[in-house]
Amino acid sequence: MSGDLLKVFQEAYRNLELLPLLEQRELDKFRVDYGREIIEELEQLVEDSPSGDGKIIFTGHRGCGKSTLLAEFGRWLDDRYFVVSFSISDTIEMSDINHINILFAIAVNLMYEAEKQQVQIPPANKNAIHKWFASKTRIEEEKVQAETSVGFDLFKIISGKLKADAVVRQEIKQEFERKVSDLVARINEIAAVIQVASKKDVLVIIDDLDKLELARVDEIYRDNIKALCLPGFRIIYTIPIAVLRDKFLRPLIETETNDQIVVMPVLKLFEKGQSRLPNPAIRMEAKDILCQILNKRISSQLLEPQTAEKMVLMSGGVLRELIRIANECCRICLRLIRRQPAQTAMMIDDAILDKAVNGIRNDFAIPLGKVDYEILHKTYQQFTPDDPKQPEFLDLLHGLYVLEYRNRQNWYDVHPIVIELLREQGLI
Amino acid sequence: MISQEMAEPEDKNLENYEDLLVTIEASQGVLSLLIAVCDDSNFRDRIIARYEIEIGSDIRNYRVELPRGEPSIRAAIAEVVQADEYLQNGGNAVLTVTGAEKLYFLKLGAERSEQEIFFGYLQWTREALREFPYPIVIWVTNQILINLIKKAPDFWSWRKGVFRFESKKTALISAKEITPLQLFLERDESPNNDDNPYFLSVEDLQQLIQQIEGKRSAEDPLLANLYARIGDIYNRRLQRGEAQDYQKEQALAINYFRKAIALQKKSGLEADLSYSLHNLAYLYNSQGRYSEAEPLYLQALELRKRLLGDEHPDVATSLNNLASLYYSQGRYSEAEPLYLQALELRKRLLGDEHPDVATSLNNLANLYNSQGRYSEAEPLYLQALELTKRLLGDEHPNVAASLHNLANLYNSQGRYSEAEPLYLQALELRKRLLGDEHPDVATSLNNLASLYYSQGRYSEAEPLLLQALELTKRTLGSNHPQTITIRKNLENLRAEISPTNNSESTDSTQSKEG
Repeated sequence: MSGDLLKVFQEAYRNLELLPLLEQRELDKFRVDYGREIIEELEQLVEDSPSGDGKIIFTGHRGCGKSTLLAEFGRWLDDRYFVVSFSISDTIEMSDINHINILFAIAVNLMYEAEKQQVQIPPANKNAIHKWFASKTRIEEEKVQAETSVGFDLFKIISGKLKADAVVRQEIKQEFERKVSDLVARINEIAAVIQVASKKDVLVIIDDLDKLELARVDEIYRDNIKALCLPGFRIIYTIPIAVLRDKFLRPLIETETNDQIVVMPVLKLFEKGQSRLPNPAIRMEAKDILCQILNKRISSQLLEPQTAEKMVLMSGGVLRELIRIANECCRICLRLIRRQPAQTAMMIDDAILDKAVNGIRNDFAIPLGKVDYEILHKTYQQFTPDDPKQPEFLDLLHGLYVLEYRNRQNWYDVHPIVIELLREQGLI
Repeated sequence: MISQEMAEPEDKNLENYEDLLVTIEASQGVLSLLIAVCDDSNFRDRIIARYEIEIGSDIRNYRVELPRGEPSIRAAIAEVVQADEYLQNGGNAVLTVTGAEKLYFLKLGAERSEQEIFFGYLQWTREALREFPYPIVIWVTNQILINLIKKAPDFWSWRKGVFRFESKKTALISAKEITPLQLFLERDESPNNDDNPYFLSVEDLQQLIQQIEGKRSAEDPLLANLYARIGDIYNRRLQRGEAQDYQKEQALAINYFRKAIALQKKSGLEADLSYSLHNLAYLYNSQGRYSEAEPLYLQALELRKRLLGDEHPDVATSLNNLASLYYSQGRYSEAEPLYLQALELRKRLLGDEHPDVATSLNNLANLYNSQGRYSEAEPLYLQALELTKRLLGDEHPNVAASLHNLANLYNSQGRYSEAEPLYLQALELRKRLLGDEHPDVATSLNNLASLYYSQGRYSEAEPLLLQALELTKRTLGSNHPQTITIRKNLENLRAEISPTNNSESTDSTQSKEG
């Protein structure tokens, strides 16, 4: 009997995956209708792009479902657009990212996708494109000839080379740094060939650019945002949310993208101030979405309904943190089953949730110093810090210690799990 | 062994171990990034060995060692997977990644430190790691953990669990310890927060010293200061029971004090020299190298008297330590006047209410106890114990020492029932405060055994002596006087309980350690 109990909790544990849902199979299994308005907003910007070359900036807090949403969005537009969706981290090493190799990565991935989808590109064009890539990435002529029939693999090789070979990246950068327009012209040619052959407009989605350090982002965007906006087709760029707080970068990006910035918000479980009241009014639609997410992944036989609700409130509205809490609960159950293999029934209840939350709180506490506590304290009291641009505050925001909720006006609150730390410090 | 260790600090370690185990088992077939934290690499190795045995037999174990220089976790794992057909076919497995603890925190002249490169790879490799559908246990130290959270925040957010294992011993050195070295550090290597208990690792420290040495001439008087401060760091780690390898770090401490002394003599830094001599003598004394310790103590005493005058607390300390050396050698009549002088000086200069006064009372009492002057010893012990507790709190190694000493006295007097609880208390306190791997713990075990021996409780005494012997061999070496004493005690005990022995004829020579 307990073998079964062990198995159901192990399965729940495996289902509580923290990584984004990228594959159709995962989406079918776990997806809930979430972020509908964001998808609509993105769709509108894509559709309304007058000359078909709009650039959209997409951002949001860590773990609120951006990558899952982008993957879904790409699939949603698949029949209307030639969608090229890739993670920049799969193409280039972080230490070496710059605007040139971002553009080059776009070129590679355009062709990679075209050959994957077997778009019928006229042989003459195809040959010219292959030769161009081969010369830029130092792949020998014979290899190109040999590979042309199965060109798809060629771009896998190029992609691998781009990732692994710093010399090639350096050469590409040197060659195009002073003549970005040459590179862009080539990219536009490739896109044009694909558009003609596929009879669809090109839409490029680049994920994981938001994983870059701020200093690097600054270098890339400050001087090169224009270059990144040059290609003559639609592109969605991800950026770290901190960029929106930069008084230099933000206006720059707004101007260059024609103010096409989409922010994915944290789900708001309470209106401002409500959570401090003795019987706070919960925003039911947000709560229901999060409960649904849990239901998809963990059987209601393993989780008390009122505990599920508490779990949702503890997440602060951040998807990944909700999954993390549920995950931790499963782990505790698995340990209890291991200690007493004879038991036949077990459910995640409030006591287990408490333990799980304590564990996660300890993780939160590790890097906190005195200044951090002061900022958290202020934010708790005022729903905003004294200085929202202070680097320490931004770190807290990106680490999800502080959550940002959007209304007509933005407001902040301390993560529900972190509030207890303030209590332990005697601050509240 | 492990279960004992785990029960010791708290049941927390055991609970975390079980969490890790069930997580590995539940994570088959999916990428699961598990972060395990331990500052004591020996303890860590025992935990790994244990889960590799205890997990289900259908799960295979793989070890992945992060390379130095370009510590890419993806590349390191890919290498192991590519070489193994079973893994490529998606067989059940657990991948244990070690080597992060060896990466330097300091830049050491490079643009980015090894740790920074490691964090860069972590932050940037989520998508790439998805091709590895296994639980991956990444072992780090607390020092790495703090920086990982800050520098690889997205990786941190993909963690599927954090499992902490606490041990008294640590490979890490706190920011506070490094503060005296400030003078030698590059700005971005200096701790910006004195509270950080996990500032850098012992390996980093060694590299740091080499780097500083490389930049200066070997004769630079400033190096004398560096060597002495490093010697202090190792010395304190030994005293607090933090050393990863007791003998190795003791040898390092000695080495640095010797280097410091050589330079201080050359540069005429007499005040500093007196401290280095003193510390080196202390280390020799604790190694049982009494004849080497004596001239150093005498030199230090002479220097201090000349530089500080006769009326100085440091002079009292020198007198006290010299007396302790004589005491260790059994030269009681030479020790007594020095102890008395030190006590008198301390009382006068520091007042009656001072921990050093308590130490002096204790030492004097030890001497009287060894001389059989029990009635003189007891009030001094009681006074010392009360004073120590009041000034330093109940949870202090000196309290343990006081309890232990008082127990010795009662044991000598045959007041066994009074001695036993005190020994037990001292042992418990020492284990808790100094960790299992500390020579003082061995002393406690030995003396408790000697009490049981005196009472004829041989079967209880033997395992304690065995433990004590193993521990002293590990921490002090096979030829240390204390190791020899314990070995002799064990031999005596075995002779006593051997079936051929006629107990009437044996004259017990069971001896005690103070």
